[in-house]
Amino acid sequence: MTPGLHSATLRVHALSMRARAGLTVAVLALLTVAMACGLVAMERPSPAPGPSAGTPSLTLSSAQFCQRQGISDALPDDLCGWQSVRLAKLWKGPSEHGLADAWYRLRFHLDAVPDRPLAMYLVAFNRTGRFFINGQRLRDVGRMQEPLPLNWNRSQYAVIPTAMLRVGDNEIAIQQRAYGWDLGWLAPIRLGSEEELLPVWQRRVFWQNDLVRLLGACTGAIGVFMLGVWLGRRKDTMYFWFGCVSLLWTVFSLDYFAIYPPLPPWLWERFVESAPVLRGVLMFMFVLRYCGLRRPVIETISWLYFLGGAAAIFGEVMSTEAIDLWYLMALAASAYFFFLQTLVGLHRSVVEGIMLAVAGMVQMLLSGYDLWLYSANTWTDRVYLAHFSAPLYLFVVGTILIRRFTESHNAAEKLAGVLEQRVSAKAAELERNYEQLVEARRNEALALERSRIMSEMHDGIGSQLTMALSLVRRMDRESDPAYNGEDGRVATVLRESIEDLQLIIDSLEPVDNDLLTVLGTLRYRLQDRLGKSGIELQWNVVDLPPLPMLTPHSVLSILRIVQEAFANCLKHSGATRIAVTTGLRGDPGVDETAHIGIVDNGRGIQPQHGAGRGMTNMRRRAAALGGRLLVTSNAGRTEVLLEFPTLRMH
Amino acid sequence: MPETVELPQEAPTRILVVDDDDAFRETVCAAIARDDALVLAGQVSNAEGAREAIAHGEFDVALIDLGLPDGNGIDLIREIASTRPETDVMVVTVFGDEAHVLASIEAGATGYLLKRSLNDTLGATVRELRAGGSPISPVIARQLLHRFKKDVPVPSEPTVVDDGGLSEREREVLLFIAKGFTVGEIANMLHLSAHTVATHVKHIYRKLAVHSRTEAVFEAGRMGLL
Repeated sequence: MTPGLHSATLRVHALSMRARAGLTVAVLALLTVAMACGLVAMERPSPAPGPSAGTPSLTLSSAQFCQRQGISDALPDDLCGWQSVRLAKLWKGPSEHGLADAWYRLRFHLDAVPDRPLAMYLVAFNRTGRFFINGQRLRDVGRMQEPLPLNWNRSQYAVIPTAMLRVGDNEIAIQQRAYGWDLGWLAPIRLGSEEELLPVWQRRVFWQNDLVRLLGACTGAIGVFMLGVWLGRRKDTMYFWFGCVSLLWTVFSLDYFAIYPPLPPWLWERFVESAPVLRGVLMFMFVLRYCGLRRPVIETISWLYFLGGAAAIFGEVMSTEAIDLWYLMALAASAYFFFLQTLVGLHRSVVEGIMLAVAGMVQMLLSGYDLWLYSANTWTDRVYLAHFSAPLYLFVVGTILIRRFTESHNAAEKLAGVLEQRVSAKAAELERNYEQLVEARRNEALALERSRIMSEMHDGIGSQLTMALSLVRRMDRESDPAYNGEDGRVATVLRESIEDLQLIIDSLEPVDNDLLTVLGTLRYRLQDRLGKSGIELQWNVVDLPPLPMLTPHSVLSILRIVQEAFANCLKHSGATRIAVTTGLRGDPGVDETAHIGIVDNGRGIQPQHGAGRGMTNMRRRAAALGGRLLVTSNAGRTEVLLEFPTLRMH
Repeated sequence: MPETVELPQEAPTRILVVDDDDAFRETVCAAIARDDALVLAGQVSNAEGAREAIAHGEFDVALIDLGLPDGNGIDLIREIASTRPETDVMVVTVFGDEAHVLASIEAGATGYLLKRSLNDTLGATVRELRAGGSPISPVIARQLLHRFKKDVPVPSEPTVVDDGGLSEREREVLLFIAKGFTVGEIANMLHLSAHTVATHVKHIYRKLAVHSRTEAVFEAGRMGLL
């Protein structure tokens, strides 16, 4: 692609790009506002007890906790070693292998049995378990056998029927089951009316699960699309890396809504733990290619950093703190490539640079927030946010990539158009050249033929006539003592034959369609005779443009007409002066005519001559040219005007 | 002819006649005999005799017919032009057509005569030629402009080597002649003497001869012959 073409395409796209950038910023703003709203809504303190009197609204933050392996419907007895704990409570089983179980016991006081069921909301619950109210089983969180459901980021909601409640102390018992290598946990439990807690739960499900599912579908679609683009253009590896990043986001988001992940739980857990850094490395690969840069050393270091960390995670030799540090360093490093990308974006266009900078910053901020949330293990009602930055970033970059793709496509089309134009111009030129060549060949053949005939005439009939003329003149001279140089009758016929032959040959000469050259040739031939007759010739001509109708055929007609006019002047008029004029009339290409005038100052055309054979021949020849002959004759001024169209006769 | 320039009558011009037509040679000899300013240096009827005369004869003007039984008149012209640069060569032609005349001028001729009107014009034409003027027809002038194509673009032909080309004045003169003006009229229009205008034509003829030789050399070089 030529730079000129590229910049032209950029200019064409400038307007629509601004519109797209506006849209992006709008989406960005909307997303941010929506997220803020969601957060505010979720972190809002519980509303004051509603109008439904008798329904309590309370949060249970302390519990009795004990660990006992095995499933049973009965609460463990005091031998279990119950201890008081604050919620959220994190715990770990006795062994890395197999399953781990624990029990919670929470009490709450009711002054009266409410007239409506009591809602129970648990914002965090890992991994599966069963709820009991006053010794009766309420419901299960999921299946209790392997594989255990993936509930870590799934809030729980249950409704306690009034029949299960009683005045005074009520007891909630929870059996919780997790993997031995995993942590089990329980966040503080909120109790309240359904009107109060159902919307809270639904909002949480929407933001943390449903929306993430939607975004996961989007990033998946973008990823597949980009990989498709890459398959079509293998050398543009940035599409490959970008597709990988997108698909990784989708896989990663499964964590937020899938109950059973696509890998065995242990593997999945390790994968999810190492995925953020993998994502960072893939992003880095993409950004480098997007910027048109290669940093082999840094790229290798990045991959080694990821592989080392992942190996440590899979080998279970990384402490939680070490993993957090691993994340933090990767996050810090990502600032470098976001910066790089923004620079390159700015270099291309301000809008692109700003869009990339905003998207990159949002992603870094939200990832940082998530990292903090994850390492703090607070398990309060907070939402993980990093995945919200994904669609924004992917949208911005995807838009830019698609724009770039269409741009180069347009440019290629334009180039193809230009090429096609050039090819057809070249073809037309070739055709023209070929026609010229054919024309030149034809002219050459004609010229060859002409010169052959000329040489025949010159050496043959021309020489013989000339020889005959000189013989006749010699005979005249020898036989007639009073010979004064005047040609006799035979000599005159011979001379006129030669002159007519001369006229034919002159009509074949190359005159470049110039009427003045045609007339000049005749003048040149007649010069001696006019001089001998003492007639002054006035060459009152105007130059004419080349007339394509001047073919040998029409030139001969013109020569004969004009020669005849001269002959009449010479023979009969007694004129002392002859003027030749030329001119054009009418519109070129429409009704343009050229005219040649022969004006003498003689006695005028006498009736006995005017009706003669010569004049008739002249009129006939003029008609053959498509023109006419105008004769005005007065004593002292006689004009023979030949007028003919300048368009080529077919 | 009105432009005829009279020479002082000291030395008569010696003329060599080369033609295979006996009647014509006779006519020419008679015409020379009638003219005091002309003297016959010799008459030959074939190329062989002409070569002999060129090598040893004494003459100022050669009248040469192009079609000889044993050779080409053009070769004779070339020979004279290269060995006797002070000699004028006049080609005798039936029609004064462009093909014959240009070929002769290229070979080195500086004038031409129409066979049939020779009787009347020989003396005047020879005098004019010796005085420095050459006859030229509109068609020949136009062809000369083509040969020295400097501002006449003919794309398919190779560019001509720089051999001096035509001067602006010479080009102007040729253009006027091509448009049918006589030497006298051109002299009036350009405020020159008729003699100067006629001399221009002769110069152009000489240039064409040189030009043709250079072009041949150039072509030969291009084809790898030199």
